[in-house]
Amino acid sequence: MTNENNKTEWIDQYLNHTLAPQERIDFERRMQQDPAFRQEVEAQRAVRKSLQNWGNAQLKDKFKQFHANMKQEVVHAAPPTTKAADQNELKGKTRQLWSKPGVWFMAASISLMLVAGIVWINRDTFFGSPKTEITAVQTFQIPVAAVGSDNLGYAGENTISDSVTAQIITDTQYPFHYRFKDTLQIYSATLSRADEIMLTHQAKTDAYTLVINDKSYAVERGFNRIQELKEE
Amino acid sequence: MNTKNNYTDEYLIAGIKSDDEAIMEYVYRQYYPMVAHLVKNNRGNDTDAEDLYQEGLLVVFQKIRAGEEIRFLKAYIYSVCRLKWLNLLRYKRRHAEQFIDNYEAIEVSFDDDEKEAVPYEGALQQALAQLDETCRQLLLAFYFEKLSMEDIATRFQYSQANTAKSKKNKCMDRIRQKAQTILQAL
Repeated sequence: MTNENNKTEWIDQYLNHTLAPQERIDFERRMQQDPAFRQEVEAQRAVRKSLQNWGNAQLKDKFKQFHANMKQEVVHAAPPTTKAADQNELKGKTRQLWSKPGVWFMAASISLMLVAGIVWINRDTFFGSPKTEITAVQTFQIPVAAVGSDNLGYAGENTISDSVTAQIITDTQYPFHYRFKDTLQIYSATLSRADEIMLTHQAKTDAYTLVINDKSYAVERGFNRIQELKEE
Repeated sequence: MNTKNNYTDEYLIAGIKSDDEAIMEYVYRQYYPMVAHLVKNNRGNDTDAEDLYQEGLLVVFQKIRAGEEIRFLKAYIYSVCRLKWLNLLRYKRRHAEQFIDNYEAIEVSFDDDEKEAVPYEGALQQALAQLDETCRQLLLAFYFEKLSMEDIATRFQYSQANTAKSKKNKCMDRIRQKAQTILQAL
């Protein structure tokens, strides 16, 4: 076969129905004569389907998060019958808020949607102004360096083991913050992908450190809330 | 986030294509009330609305990424969700003939069958999970997001599209071999 070097692409073309008629005939003949090849085609078809399912599941998780964020703001926009003067007190005494039945109802619907109740803990997210204005987003991959237990250094000395999808988001409400689940979102008005950005990961403690232009910031992975970036 | 629509459809569609989370969230919020209204007007509740909207958006995003030309995003989203809800009502033998529209639908077509259950899907997902992150992201960018090799090279910071392509092919070779082992074991 002429396409042995590009087997992946050749199979893709077949599965995408983009082979020329004669090539298609050759391809199908090869499948008939060569059961192992046939199985490779089936395997690639299955992987492609699986990637779709994987991508859809990831996207759906994002939608669920968007929905939870939206609901969260609904709670904020329509607080229970609390006087405006109580607002400050409310922040300190959440118990008082919880005594209203309406809040329980809304809380129940929210907690169903949130993976963990973590957002509750973060008052800034919960009570913060919903009027954020996102003006720019850049998406790209950043390298992740594995840091050994006996190694204190950064990028240079370590092996690049992985990468993570990162986004730099310009949002008036968050001058220098982050949110790190599957994607690492860095909120900053000044950073760009031209800056040197990488992550280090300490396997032993599962701790991540974000390194931006040689400055280090400890970051926690797996939380929905947006947190401040603090230099180590 | 703005609640007023300041963005053109072209801008939003480009954002969805490039997996821009802020734009996707904006789109999500922008059109949810319309679909929730539709579902609740037609024998559905909030949970139905959320489920349906998310399934509908998956279809719309897939169409966008596959390069389908969409001229009116709002009408497209409405029409996909509307058809999905109608299919579901018919499936449940509810009264779809009394359907109340709250927006003008356009003609859309997509595969609305229940996902076929593949016996080896669990094993394949596991194999995907075990693949290294860069490989998985590369494959997802190509096969799921349907990005061009140039866009993939930019995102993954490869100097050329050809580098991205050969890496992608190597990753597919690897996972295909694993998948073959899984299929052989059936």
